[in-house]
Amino acid sequence: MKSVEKKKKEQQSLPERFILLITEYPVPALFIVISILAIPASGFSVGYLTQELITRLVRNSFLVLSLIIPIMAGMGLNFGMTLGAMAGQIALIFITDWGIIGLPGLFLAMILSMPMSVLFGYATGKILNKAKGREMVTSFILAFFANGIYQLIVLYGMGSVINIGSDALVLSRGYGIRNAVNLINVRQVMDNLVPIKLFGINIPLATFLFITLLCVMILWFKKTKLGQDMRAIGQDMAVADAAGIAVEKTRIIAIVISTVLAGIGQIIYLQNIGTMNTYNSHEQIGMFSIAAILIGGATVSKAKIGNVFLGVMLFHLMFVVSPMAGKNLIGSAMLGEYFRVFVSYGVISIALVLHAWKRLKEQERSRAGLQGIATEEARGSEA
Amino acid sequence: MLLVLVLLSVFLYNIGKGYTLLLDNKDIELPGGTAKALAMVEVQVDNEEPIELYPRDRDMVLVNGKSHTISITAYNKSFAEIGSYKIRFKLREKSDMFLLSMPALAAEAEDWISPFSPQR
Repeated sequence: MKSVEKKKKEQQSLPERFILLITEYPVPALFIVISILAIPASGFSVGYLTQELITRLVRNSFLVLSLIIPIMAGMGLNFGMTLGAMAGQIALIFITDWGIIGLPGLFLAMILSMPMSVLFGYATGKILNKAKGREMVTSFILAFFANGIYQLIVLYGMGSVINIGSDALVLSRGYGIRNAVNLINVRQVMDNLVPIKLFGINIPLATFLFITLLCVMILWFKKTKLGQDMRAIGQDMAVADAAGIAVEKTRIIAIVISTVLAGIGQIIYLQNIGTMNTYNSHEQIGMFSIAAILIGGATVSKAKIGNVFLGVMLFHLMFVVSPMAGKNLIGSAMLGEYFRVFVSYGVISIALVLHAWKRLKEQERSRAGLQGIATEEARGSEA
Repeated sequence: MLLVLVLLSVFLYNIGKGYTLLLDNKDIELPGGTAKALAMVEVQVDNEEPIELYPRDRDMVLVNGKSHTISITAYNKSFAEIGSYKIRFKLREKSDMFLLSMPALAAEAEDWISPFSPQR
């Protein structure tokens, strides 16, 4: 089957291939066109943009990569990754309170976030199993619910029930964590572990290696029995169930893995920034990561590692260039930012609608095909 | 697996735990009498940048883990070297902050290091 497609592709001319590529990936194509127009308008140098993109790649890629496994298992885009981000933040609060410095602190935070992420992921997986086919909206609302519990724990539990000794963390009333937590102890410790400067651009090699390790693990995981089971479930849950795959258990594992990775990803994200906004840092993470992977050409049912990196680059390129492009073109950076928000989320909506429309069409086509078979069978029996 | 993670966490906690060392060059009362502040002392903790302290100076260094080395070189008023000391020490008490008295260290007193808690 694949070789037939390959032969077909080889027979196509270059413009035909280009058009096919654009029709296959309309969202990344649109973003590339917008970026090509916006970059000269922003007036930023190539060096500056490259540095910004590298910084944002190391900051966000791990988080976005955490979305791949649930997509593979047919659970769509996991908005529940926010719960993993919360676990990562709680772990960072603890290591800041204990005064654990440097890489040991960062790795300790990752280990501490794991049991919490596993617990949150398990609960999310259980709930999503009760809402099959509506996983995205369920996980989206679940993230809001979990945010309430997170705020209750951090705002009222920490300092009163949970012992937090540091005055720098606890509010002056004696309980609750301050709005901003200074992560000076772990600030950019991974990014600065193996610093490399190429043509005046800082490349945080250690973080890139850590992200590469995750990519290799995802590729390896896809080939394992569990990975194959997830792909089978993603293609057809009923068939996978009939084949003896423990569908519900496998789906829970997919969400648990995603939540654990999101927790680690949030720690990498925050060590790069160096400050944690206790009550807001996790809120936008789900939306931004999902936007990035969709812009990279992924769909609700299909995502590759390449989509992650392309998406992070294109999405964050818009973040960097649009305010300045808006300022230079219209005289207001605010309008540029509005334009970015409008275009980014508009394109995401279009991507989701297009996907739903394609799925509907495919279902209609397969139904029509089945009806055709049934009619032919009826004719055969009549004859 | 769980045991490995727990052991790794304990290991990371121990090697990553940060402590504040206050390097103090003030007169100090010792059992054998008063140790006077040194005219000038150069202090180096582990491989950190050396710090110069004059009488009544206090500076601080942040360190990871419990085991450290301190090297001090004491000078007189005309900046002639009068002695140098190098000591390996462990932070045994349960505190995040320690006061290291340079005159006591130069006098080879036992209690040259003591836990410190800032007044609130």
